[in-house]
Amino acid sequence: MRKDPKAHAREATLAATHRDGIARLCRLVLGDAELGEDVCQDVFIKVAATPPPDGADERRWLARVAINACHDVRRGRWWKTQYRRTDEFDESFHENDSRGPERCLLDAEQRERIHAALGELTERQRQVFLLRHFEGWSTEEVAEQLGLSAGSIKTHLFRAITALRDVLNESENE
Amino acid sequence: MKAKMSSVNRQCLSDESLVAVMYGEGSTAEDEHRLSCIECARRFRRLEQDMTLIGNALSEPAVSRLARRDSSRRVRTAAPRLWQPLAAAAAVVIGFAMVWTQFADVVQPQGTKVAGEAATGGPSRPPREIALKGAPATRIARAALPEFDASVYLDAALGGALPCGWDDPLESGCGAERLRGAVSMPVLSGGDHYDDLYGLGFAEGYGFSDADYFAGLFGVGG
Repeated sequence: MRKDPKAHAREATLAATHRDGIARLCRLVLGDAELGEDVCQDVFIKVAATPPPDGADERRWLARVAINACHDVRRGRWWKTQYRRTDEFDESFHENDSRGPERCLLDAEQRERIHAALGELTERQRQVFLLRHFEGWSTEEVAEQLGLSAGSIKTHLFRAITALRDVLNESENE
Repeated sequence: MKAKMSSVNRQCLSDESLVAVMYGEGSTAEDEHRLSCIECARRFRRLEQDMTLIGNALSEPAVSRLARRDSSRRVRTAAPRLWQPLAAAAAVVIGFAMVWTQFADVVQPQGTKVAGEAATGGPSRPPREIALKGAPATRIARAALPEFDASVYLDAALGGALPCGWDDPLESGCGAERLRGAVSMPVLSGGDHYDDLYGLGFAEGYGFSDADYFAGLFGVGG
């Protein structure tokens, strides 16, 4: 059975418009680039089966689906028992850059530290920060999505920002 | 409300308030204070700069090992962890049982005798007997291989005997001149068990030291 061309076009538009943002959200929530990509793919497969309702804010709708999918991954048995990060050599870390090797290395190190600091946050703090800062959700929307109070969201957000800024200032002072 | 505004205007904003202001959730008073206070304005600018840097850093994919995953990153961990402590406990219990069995078979009769003598104020015994009693059972077991009589061997050692089968190729054999008049150590059948005993005697805290050994050898001291 062939799909309705209109629905197909809408899916394509959704993917073209929001794919990168949703992939980044998944990647940051999970702290894992490839797993984030996988989950992002799952999100768009789900969207193909159940498209966002007419009139809904597509980006927010997709972000909700993505956050829930990331939740499912982290709650899964596989994540708890078998997922483990390993340190591996990555050539892209050492790749050439027009900024010069030292500046490039410093920037890359700082980026690494910030990514690592994001990974060190609690899951709640990370989600709150990403939804509030990157997705631009309001405190109330984040609170509703995560089932927390607005005050709690503000506290989580402040702690997340403080932790990330600490890392940033540490690396600048070195 | 007026009082609150004036107090906010007097005091610098907390970091939490600055964050709220940055996200457009601060009160009017806080916003006004931020605009009028040089220090708060400076802190606010710094906060914005930091958040821009953080945002830029997180917008780019993590370049390396910390957030990159490839197929090898999905490494199976040592699977169910429950069996590990159980296996460790079982190994400890088995090891303890083996040691205990050997200890009981080899040392218990001699140890009991020594203890009995001590209780009756009997003759003082050489420290190595006590050493044998308290020595680790694994060493005892190693020293007490078949056809090995520890007490005979120890008595000979007390008398200053040297072992035959000395490892040093320059001093091989049990020549009288090498032993300097000392009594030759009984030769143990089946191998060089002296090494076992010697090793036992040298164990710290068991009373059979270099000093004992050479004192016996040269007939010096008790």
